[in-house]
Amino acid sequence: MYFYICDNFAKKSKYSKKLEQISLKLAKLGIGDERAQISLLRPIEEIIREALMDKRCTNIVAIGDDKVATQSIDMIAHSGRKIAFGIIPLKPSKIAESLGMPNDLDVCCQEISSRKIARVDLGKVDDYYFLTSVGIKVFPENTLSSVFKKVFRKKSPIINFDFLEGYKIQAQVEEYSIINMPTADDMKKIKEGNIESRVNPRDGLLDVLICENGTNSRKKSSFLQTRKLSIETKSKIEINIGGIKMKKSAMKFKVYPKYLDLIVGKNRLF
Amino acid sequence: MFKEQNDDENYNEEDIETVIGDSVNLEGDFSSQGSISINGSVNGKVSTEKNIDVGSEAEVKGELNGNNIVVAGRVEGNIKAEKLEIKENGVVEGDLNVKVLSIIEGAKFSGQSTMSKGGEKEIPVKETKKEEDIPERE
Repeated sequence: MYFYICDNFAKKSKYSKKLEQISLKLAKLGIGDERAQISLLRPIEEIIREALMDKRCTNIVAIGDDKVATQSIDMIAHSGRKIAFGIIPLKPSKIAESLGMPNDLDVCCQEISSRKIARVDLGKVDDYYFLTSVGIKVFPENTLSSVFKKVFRKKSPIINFDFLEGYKIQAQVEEYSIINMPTADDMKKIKEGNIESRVNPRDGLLDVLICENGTNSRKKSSFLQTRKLSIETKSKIEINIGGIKMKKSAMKFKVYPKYLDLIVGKNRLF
Repeated sequence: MFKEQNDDENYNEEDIETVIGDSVNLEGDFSSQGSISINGSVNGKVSTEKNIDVGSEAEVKGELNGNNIVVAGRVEGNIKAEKLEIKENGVVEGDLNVKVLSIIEGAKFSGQSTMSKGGEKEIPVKETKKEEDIPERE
């Protein structure tokens, strides 16, 4: 059985036509099943908990953006249940792009119906599972720190990485990515560095990409792979986990090999 | 691995799996199943069954063990490899245990070199005098 989770923003009138189109297409394909709408009174946690309690539920599909997808994946992973995850994007979504789910809603519903499954690794940062990557920006755009950087030519803080494999690194750049499954943005950086053949969400490894101030030339960037690492810095830095932003000064990363089934499309990026 | 780099003409770009950029300092022993490109600083032993490329800005304090090793930067430590090439600006301070050794004019090497053939007893073939004054890198 398919369980659909509609993001809160989908209630807005500008999405009503899209939702109607999705409902009709899913019904036509015979996979209409159950749908729930996130709201203030029904938060995503409650909806997914209900879905997970239903033993008939074998697929959870997020209708929305990266944030709802990331939250859904985290809860599915915590549950330990073997449930396939899919996404129908209502807004531009890096996760949908990675999974090869197109913006053409009819084609996307068709891909969901085809239920082509890829089992992939999941990354975990502290207690939060992630599918794609965790981006670290020392000076996030449009923030006070980015203004300080420009005005006072503020240097990036030193960040310490401690790898399970027994070595440590120290870096002082503006951007870092801890990648499990590359998004289109990650792929762009990776392609500049010509390391795309090494980034694979089914290799049981996290990829650490360190880019110096927007460049990714050979000498300026670093690329390392690991199963587990911890990161520490003196001041809090912003991290972005699939659209969910938080500030931390210490975090632990780990990869869980072959941990989640994904419903993928023909044009997936891995 | 990266297209614009000339130091590693001998390598297949596809081989490189780990890159240590020039903004990174690595501490500790590092081993990889794939090739390694070093452009930053490393303090520890670096091992792989494949290739190691020490770029012109790189500084390594520790042993290097690999198949083909090219040094265009500075290495303070022993090197064990099938094939070692020290490029014209490369500096190596340490003992070498290699099967094939190539030192380009302008390169600096200080240490003992033991050249061995596969399966045969290692034969020391050359001992160089320690250079008294190796100029500091700029």
